[in-house]
Amino acid sequence: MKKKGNISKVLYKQRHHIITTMILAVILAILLLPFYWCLILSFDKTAITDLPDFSLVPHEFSIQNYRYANEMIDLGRYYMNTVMIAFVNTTIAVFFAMMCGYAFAKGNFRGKKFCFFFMLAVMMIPFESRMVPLYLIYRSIGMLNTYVPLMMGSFAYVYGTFFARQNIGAIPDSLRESAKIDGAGEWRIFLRIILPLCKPVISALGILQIVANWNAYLWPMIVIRSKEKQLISVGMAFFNASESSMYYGPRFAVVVLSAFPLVIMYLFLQKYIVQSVALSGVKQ
Amino acid sequence: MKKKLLSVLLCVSMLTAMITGCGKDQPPGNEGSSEQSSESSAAQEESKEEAEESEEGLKVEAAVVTTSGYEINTDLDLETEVTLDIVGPALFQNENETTDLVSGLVKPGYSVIADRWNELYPNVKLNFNICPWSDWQSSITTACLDGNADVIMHGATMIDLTEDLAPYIEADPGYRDKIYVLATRRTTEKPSEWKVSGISGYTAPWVVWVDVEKFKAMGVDLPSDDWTIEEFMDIAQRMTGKDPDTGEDIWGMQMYSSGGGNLFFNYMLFAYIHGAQTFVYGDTLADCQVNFDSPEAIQAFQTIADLAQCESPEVREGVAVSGTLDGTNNWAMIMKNTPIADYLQIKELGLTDKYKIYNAPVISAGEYKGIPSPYFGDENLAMYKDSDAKEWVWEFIKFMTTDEVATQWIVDNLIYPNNKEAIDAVMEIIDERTADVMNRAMSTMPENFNGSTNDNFNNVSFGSVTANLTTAVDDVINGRQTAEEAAEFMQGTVEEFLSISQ
Amino acid sequence: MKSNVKRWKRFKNDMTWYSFIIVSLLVLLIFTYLPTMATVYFSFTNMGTYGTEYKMVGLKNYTVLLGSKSFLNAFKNTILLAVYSLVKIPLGFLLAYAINSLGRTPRQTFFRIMFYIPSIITGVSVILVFQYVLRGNGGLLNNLLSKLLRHEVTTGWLSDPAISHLGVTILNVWMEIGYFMLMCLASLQSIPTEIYDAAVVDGANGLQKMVYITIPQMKSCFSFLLVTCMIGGFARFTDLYIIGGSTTAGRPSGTLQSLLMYIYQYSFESPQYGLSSAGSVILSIITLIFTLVNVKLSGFLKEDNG
Repeated sequence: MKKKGNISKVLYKQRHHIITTMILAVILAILLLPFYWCLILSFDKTAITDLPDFSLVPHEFSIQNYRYANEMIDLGRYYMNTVMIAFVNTTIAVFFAMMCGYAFAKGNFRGKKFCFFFMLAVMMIPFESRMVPLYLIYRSIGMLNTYVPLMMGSFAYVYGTFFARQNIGAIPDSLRESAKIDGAGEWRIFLRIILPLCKPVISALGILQIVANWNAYLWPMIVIRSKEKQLISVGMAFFNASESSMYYGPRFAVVVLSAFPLVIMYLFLQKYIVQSVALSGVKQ
Repeated sequence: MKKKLLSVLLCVSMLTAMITGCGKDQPPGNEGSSEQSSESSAAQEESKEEAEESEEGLKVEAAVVTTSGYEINTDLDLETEVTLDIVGPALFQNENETTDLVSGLVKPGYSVIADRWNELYPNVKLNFNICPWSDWQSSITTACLDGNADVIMHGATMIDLTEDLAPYIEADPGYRDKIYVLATRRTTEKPSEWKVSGISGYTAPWVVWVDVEKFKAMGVDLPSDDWTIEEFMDIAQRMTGKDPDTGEDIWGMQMYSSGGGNLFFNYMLFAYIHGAQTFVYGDTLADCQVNFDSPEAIQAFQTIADLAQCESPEVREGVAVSGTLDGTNNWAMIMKNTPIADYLQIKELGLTDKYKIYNAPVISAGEYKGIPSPYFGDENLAMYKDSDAKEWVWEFIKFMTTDEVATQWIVDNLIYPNNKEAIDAVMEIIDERTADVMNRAMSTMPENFNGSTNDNFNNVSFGSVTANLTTAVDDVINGRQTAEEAAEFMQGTVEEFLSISQ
Repeated sequence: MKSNVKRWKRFKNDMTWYSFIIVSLLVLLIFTYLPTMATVYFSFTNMGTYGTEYKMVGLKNYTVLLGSKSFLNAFKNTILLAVYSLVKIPLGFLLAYAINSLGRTPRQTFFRIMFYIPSIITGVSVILVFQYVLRGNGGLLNNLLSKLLRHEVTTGWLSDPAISHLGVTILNVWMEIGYFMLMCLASLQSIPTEIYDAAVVDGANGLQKMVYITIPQMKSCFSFLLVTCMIGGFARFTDLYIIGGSTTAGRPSGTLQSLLMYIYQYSFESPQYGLSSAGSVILSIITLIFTLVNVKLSGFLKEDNG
């Protein structure tokens, strides 16, 4: 009797899983369809002045669109610059976010509440509204047409601070206490204990930062003058403003080219990302 | 671990970069042959000319420009090293030549200009800091704040930043006669007066292309060369229906910049035709009169509404509308302003019998009665008012508009130089009719007409007219506002702005 | 003596902690608060193009904006769109719940990875792709719906003003659902299983478990998402700008003009820098008020002083 019940329960559960899987698969297919479509069209030789009907494979396979896109914009150089900037900025941003997060999560100092609010309030000020005065500040210190204006913001990654604070707050105090008994200072604890425990947070913030840096357009366009130093997003804007952008194939090829490195990177980092949020962050 | 991971990532990205970047060392962008507009999509939407299917590397032949135009100015200091910073979008989007994917037509890049200039003036270096069309006004504003600006590309509309070129033209006898139009603007301080805020690098008059085959199929006579707005609308309506032979839909009309950022120009085109005077300028902004609610203005909106009935739903919705003259169109008439490139395209495709070019319908009332409704797009060159090399900026502008090589370069980019002598040369690559139509359009243009500040449009001193007129025209096209409502809406927003600026 | 030592110790402690945050604080002070101060200052002037002459006009810009129909319209759009975008929270939760119910299987991992991909690909060009997907005539979505429903669907998701808010919300959900799913999933998986065991003993069914245990347990996750989602919603710009054909008009019919677009228009396109600065200040104040109310109501940030 009891056994039978168990079996039906298992069966029920299996059926339940299959239904859930199917529903999820359908939703996923809908979500990813535009991206797939874009990928297909980017390899389609017929997608030039008219948008071909939807099909699962290119009507006429060719890499002509990619070749053309590559001729139109200096992808190699833009990639290099963007990768460099994204890498440096992400490293700085995440490290400083972790530092601040640690101080706000575990610290006990005068003015902590005020400082925390001081940082959070920044999230309410849209960037566009202070862009011009900010530009003038960099001008007055002679930093235009360098990467400095693009990097400076990374030293205060507010959202990351917030996120890191939540995560670090969940690390039991006992670890710190025992380190303290061994005579370790806060910096030592931070570098030796907290950071290694926070790999997932770091990668989660890392990916958010890389995506943000990769797509940043307006600010780089304004502060960077030389084409040699320009970033991929601006390169794409050049492409989108050209008449060739009316050709569907090359346009979609550019989309794929700009997104491709991000997807690759994500697939590398993905396993840490869920852990990070899971570790605590915004848990109950 | 983190480091390892990141270094792996870096390697992967570098690798990707190398793989994808193994092509030519070429700068980004392309020629944005947009018209005078406030939007980046100008370039996107309005500049898809080019022919289809033809051999690689085709270059437009003939059209050898001979101008008496330009000579080295020996009055200038030819010794001291100077750098001219060229900022903004337009004209110089590509450093090297580009080949069109479909037609194979090759357009030269700006290195040609740089080489020629340095031949003449080795001591003056041109520094091209070109920005994309997207957010170009922010780019110009900040570049000027930085102080590193001399020539502002397409900056004439930003009147607060430009130098009045009138004294330079005066000091240069003969120059004014060599070029077609000045990029004049009315100023905000004294709207009744004109300021020469820049010089057009090229011009692009508006024309109508007619699909002759569709007219035959529908049994409608081709229009007369001096068509009135009544004839224009009557034909658009009669040409809307089903092709009796093939059963396919034919739409009578595709209006200007369908789906593009320049939709608002349609109002101006028809307001002129109906003899409207939407803006009456006074000595101060407060003295200016705005008549969006006049009967003529309402009639202009009504014309748009009626013509929209002759547009296909895709065109009315306006996402990714193609205006290519490649034989696959479902419209019978299209309003465009890229006649040279369009002609070369149909020539490439062997479609010269299928399409016929017409001037815009004539103005039916008022001061300009009888001339084709005026409009030309351009990309202009302006001088930054705080430039420290003004004499060189002026020299460069003069060079761009009169030098033989520079003019040839503009022709090679399949656009229409703002240089009367060069126009003779352009006529050699296009047929007589296209030449006549362009010639008529440009030579009847009212004095000081320009697309930015005129009797029926002003995107300089009246606040968000551009954005609001885009909304109004889009709404009228899609039947969301009647002509009267659109007129009232426009009148309201402009009056609101004027009350702000008191 | 003693108190001096104590004070010194306390000072030293403070300094240690400040060494962690001082760089960030300074950067914010110089590169965020300083320019913001400038913006506040210019909001009381009649500056046209930035850098040109101006004079003080007091509160005029503010009264003008608050009495302007188009500003109030942008204001309304911004708030509505921000509120609509909150739908990502329940949707993300449901998705996470379904994925979580698969147990720790490869299937779960697969879905977890794949659902996040749209959040990675978010550049400007992707919005152009979505314009083709969501357009009324011959759009990919409408083609699909037409086939499913067996009659022609021509809904202009982004071009019909009556539903453009819905259209851009769909777009927003599409692009960001992965992030919300992930946050919810992580939070879900951190709920101790013992709580469920107790409920099962009490005879609770699946729905009851979800309503009485899961959701209350995830309160802080939801409030985090609520606050950040609202802040992001108020600063909406890029996608709406592109959908309107790269204009600040907020096509169709101005229904998609956000406050930031309004501000941008007066910053650069038809320069009235004083006016746009006042708009920025108003936007910041609204965001601040909304955030504070949210934080208060959700009790977020309160409990943990770690």
